[in-house]
Amino acid sequence: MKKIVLFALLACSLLPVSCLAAKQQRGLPVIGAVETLTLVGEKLQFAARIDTGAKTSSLSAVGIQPYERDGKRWLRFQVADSSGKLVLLERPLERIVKIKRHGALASERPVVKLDVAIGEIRQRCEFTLVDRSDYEYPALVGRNFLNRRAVVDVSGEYMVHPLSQGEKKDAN
Amino acid sequence: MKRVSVAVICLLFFCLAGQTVRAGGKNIIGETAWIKVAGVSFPYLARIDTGARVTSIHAVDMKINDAAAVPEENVGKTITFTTENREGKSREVTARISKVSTVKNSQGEEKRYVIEMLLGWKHVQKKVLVNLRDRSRMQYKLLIGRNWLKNDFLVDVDIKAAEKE
Repeated sequence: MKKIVLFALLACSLLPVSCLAAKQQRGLPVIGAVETLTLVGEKLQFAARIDTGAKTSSLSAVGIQPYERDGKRWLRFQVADSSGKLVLLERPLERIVKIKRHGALASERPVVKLDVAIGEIRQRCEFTLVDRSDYEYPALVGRNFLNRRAVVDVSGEYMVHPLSQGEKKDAN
Repeated sequence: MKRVSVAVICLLFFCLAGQTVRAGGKNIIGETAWIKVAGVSFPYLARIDTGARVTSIHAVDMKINDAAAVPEENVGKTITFTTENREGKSREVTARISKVSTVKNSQGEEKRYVIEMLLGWKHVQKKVLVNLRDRSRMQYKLLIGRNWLKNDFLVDVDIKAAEKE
């Protein structure tokens, strides 16, 4: 009788551990159709559409102004974070891409590199800058962020805690 | 001995239950995949697009039986269209119009006819609403959206479909 109780207790202890652990698939974290994207340095948060159909990620920006710094091309631009606050950012211009849009002519977009995170997943990725104020989400996370870093489950949204483990500890 | 084996069975059950909870029992699909469309003899190399709410298929030469001028009045009527995959194989399809969806884009407002289609991947078959769109300028003639992926798939963009089915 004691042995059964012991085994049952052991078995029960295994179940909650797998429930509480962040969802994983083949060792990759599972994220939803929409997540919070954090701009690490400036500590800004954006609601982001997780888009496997997009090759490159994108961030909504307005007032994009090119300028020169140390002989290199830089961009000054404004982004609105989830609180609605407009913040001025400056980044080197990486390149200019042609964006193919369904039914519309191809257009050009500037590309910058941003240090971003979705929960524990942290990456330095390219983002095209475009005015996305007509769209539901200011950020679009594409394959360049997702590749080998996350798996997408469109059945849910905000599956990941926006802060990393370290930030969660600091917050508490 | 009997008690121990019962306990072991319970232990195995809880382990398996834990596994199911974690994996979710969903299929893993890549950034592109070969999809079969019921009623169409050839497969499509499709783009798996979590950014699209509804699935879209390439459709041209749309003809509606007893067409009305207002698109919404054509719901329930039969529509015939030609669909083509990337390899150039084409087929005429007939279906009932389920609804009309309005899409706002840079050109203004566009109306699209929506039908139901049974789309299959390996052993999985799902019937979903599909937008009929002219995708002749797009690389992928079938765009799988969230309405097909929901509840059954996890998308791993590291996986790409084989060149040939």
